[in-house]
Amino acid sequence: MSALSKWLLQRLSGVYFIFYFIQIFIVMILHVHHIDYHFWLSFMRSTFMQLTTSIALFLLSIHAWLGMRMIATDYIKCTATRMIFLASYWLLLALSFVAGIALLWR
Amino acid sequence: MVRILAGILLERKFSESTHNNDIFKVAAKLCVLSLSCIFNKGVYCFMHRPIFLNLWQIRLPWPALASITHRIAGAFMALFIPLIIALLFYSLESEDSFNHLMSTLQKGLLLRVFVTLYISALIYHTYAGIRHLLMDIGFFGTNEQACLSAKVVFVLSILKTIFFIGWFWGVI
Repeated sequence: MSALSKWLLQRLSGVYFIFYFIQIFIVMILHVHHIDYHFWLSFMRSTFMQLTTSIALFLLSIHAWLGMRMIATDYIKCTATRMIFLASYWLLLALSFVAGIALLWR
Repeated sequence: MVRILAGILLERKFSESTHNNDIFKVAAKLCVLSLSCIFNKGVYCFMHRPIFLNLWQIRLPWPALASITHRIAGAFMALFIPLIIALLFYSLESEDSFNHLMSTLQKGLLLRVFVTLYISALIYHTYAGIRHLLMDIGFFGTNEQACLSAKVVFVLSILKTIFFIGWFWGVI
């Protein structure tokens, strides 16, 4: 993947998050007085929310990975330390992505 | 001679820029400087070396401050993604776990402070990110506009964070 497409992917995922948060914010404002377990479950398990949240989780993994890689290359000078850190962070992100998808689509 | 004068002027500028207004300190510095002019030939190089670079006394310009806090907030949120997934899991697992999570949010201070910090970081990161996107498109090109937009981002995110904390610590 070229550097330009990474750069573009980080910006585009950021734009997606803005719209995703606006959507969640509006729903929460509309239903703020009667949020309980059943409302929350039916909200998160609606097909629209499942689809958009899956896309958001995927883009979040990419956004967080690109950002953390940038920070690590800027501040961690020792190559071995950086590689270990980035590899463990990649594992953490992959696990949380799989867990998030699994708990959404059950 | 011109070099020495330039060096003295630069030294004055340097001491002014670090808010060192003590006249005796400046005079002492000038004495040391003139002595070093006499005994040392490399005065000019000596002048250009950062003598006292205390990071805590250098005031970052607003755009730099916005950039570094955007980074810090992003790193904080990125490191705690698994914890947020775990909270989502607990809230969706069953009615008991949802109620347990809610009561923990009400009583447990640690979780409450963590969620408050996370959402404050999210608010700030979003506003600063919108500013970065606008700068990528081509807005805020000049120095003054960059400073002003950074200040606007700070004010907006602080206001929204105050609103959020008022709601979150008042209602729940």
